Amino acid sequence: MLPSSPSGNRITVHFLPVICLLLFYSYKIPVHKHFQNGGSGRWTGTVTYKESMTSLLGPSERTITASFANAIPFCYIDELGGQASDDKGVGSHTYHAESIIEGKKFAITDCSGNGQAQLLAITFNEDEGMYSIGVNSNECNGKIVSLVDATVQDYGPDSKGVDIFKQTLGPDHNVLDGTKIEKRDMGVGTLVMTTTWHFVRVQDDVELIITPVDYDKWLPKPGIDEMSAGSEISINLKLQGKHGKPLNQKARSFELRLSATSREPGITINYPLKPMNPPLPDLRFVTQPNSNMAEEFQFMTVNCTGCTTANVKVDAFDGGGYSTLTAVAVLADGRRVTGNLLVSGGSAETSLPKRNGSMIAQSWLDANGKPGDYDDNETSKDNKNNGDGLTAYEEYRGVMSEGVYKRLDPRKKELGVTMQKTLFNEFSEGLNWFETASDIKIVRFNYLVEIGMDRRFNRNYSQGHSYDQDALRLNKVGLPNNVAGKAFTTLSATPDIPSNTTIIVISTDNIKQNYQNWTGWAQSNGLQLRWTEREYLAQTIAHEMGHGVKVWHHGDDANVPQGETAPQGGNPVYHIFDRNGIEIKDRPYTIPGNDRVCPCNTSQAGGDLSCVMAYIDVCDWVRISYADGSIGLFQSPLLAIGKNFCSGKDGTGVNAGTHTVSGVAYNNYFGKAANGACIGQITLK
Amino acid sequence: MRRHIFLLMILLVISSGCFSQIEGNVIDTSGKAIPGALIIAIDSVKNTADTVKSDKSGYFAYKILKRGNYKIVVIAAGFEKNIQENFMVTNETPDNKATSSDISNATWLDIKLRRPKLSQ
Repeated sequence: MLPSSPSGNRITVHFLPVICLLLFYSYKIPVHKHFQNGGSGRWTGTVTYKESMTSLLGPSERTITASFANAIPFCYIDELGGQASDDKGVGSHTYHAESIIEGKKFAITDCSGNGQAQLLAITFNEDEGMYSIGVNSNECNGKIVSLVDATVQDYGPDSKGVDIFKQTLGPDHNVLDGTKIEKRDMGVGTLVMTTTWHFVRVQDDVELIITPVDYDKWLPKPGIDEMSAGSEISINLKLQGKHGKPLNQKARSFELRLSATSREPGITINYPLKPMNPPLPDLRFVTQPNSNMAEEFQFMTVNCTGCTTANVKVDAFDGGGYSTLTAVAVLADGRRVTGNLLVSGGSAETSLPKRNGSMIAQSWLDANGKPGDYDDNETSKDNKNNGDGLTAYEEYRGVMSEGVYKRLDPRKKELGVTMQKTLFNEFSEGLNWFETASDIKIVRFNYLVEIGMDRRFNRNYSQGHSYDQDALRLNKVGLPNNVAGKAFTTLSATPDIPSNTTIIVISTDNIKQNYQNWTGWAQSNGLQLRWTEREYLAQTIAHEMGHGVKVWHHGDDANVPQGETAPQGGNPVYHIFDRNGIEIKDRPYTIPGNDRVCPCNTSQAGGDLSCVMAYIDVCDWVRISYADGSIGLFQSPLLAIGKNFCSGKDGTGVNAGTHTVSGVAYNNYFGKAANGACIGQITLK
Repeated sequence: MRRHIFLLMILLVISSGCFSQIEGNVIDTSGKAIPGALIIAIDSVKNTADTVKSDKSGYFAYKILKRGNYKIVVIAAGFEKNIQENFMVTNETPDNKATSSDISNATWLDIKLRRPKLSQ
């Protein structure tokens, strides 16, 4: 029988089980952290391994020595910023085997070699007070000589993994040494394996400290477009001696990397309307003298001669940009020192901006009630329809609004409103009325510049998005006679959410004309209007915007009867009062045919008259049918314009209170609102 | 009798949900209303046309327009012709539940006309 054939890929064969076992052994490492624990660092040491087998089939003996100087175990190279060669050492490897059948020697195998050994892992399980070491030997090559026919076969390359598992950690975690002897019954004989090791952790004398300037407060802010930088963070790098000792090393370069950088389309959730595709990284290094840039400004080398400090800058190109910075100082002696954030032993990873597991900067979260990235839970006064259709991350990324970058508020409902730039001034008071009445902040967008024809508010996103929100579009247009404003919806002619409200149109010409008509009428009747033309425009805008956030009128007066006559003879009996409350006893008495006579408790003029949704000009009279068969007709006084969104259905002003007829109480004038409680109806998504 | 049948047919067509409304404005590049402009909606499939005129405020309305794909041609004296291809009329049938004249489920259309360029 010939000795087992060497694998042509022993490194892989040994590598995988060792790493897997060590990872398993170190299962207590939190998932979100990299594979780095108490065994991390550079190590110098030697492993010797000797196996001998006495067997009926012949003896064999293997000897391995692997020595490492200043080596980083393979499993920590990425985390420590090491190079691919940092886990390598030198080794020797010999193998000798004799094959015997029925007492007769028929083949001899000899293999030997010197070469590169690999330190795979040194891991600690400090909870259990154990450590493990994994080493891969160098390869040996040799021959198998047949003593039967004197033929010679090649043997090798052959390498072997040396595993030292679950050894007790001593008090000094920087020194690992020991010997273990294992005996294994192989059936035809006994295999004896002796492993001896001695490792000492290299005490680094140099450390690199990363200090981002104003780290706690810095936020990414975009420039004016995708090619323009916005806010900039300055990052200082400083080599220093460890444990307060003087620095006796200098760097020849600093290598910096931005990784896992966000690539959100555009610079904000709304701008530009057609962003670059694919998007560039949202945070990028700034080029400086003596630097080399690569990988879309995500990797930078700053070269220097014998320096101990450096400064780099990172520019933001998106309001929600984020990344993770790592830095390595390459010392004059070739050693690579990974930077630590702010202090000795600080994190090797610097989140930009300062974050804690979120895409959002911690300072902004702290200042805004600590929402989750996808939260959309804003509340507003007297309203249970929470959320404004934008996630916290979208609010954080912000918008370009009237040419200015703004972050939004995750605790305040916000409604996008878009119109031609020239209209904002004219419509401003109406928008302010709506804001005050609704407890919803309006975010103003220049139409076709900051919001497109599709009205999409949060168009630019790759993550942190949960709802396609739209802005309300307002425009100044011509409308048929008397129509001051109108809301257009997609599904039915009823109030709807912003996404289903295609446009709100306002006719300032009709508002002007209506106001003149009202003024003329009031003067001719010796009355004075209780609102100005400016208030009429503002109320019209706020009212139509109410429809755009799904608020109904107080009642339905689509088919209001016009005119009525109280007949001579008193059947039925009419109680008629003019707008001053003076009873009109003339009979017959005719209300003109163009006067609208509305019912009590169901009309658009019912309920809270301070509400912007209450109509003050659609009903000239209110008609009440009393239980005793008589009829009440009350001429509406001139009412003031409402500025609020009501929170109930009860009447206010002339609508408040009751009057009694034949012992039964009836609401005054237009009474309650059929719908009412307008502020509770507001719905943004 | 014939008139009654015709009205009945119209009501049936309306109730079948095939119709929609368009309202809009015709203005010049400065935003000023253009009264008397002709707005012609040409059914791209049947090649039939329906014409309305803008009022003094530039406002126009198609109260009943079959849902579908239209070419909208707008003509006004002293202005270049404006053509909008593939204008989709998709909204639901006009809704009789409207609570007042200030809410509509019509499609709103802004049309801006330009003065012709002077020849060199």
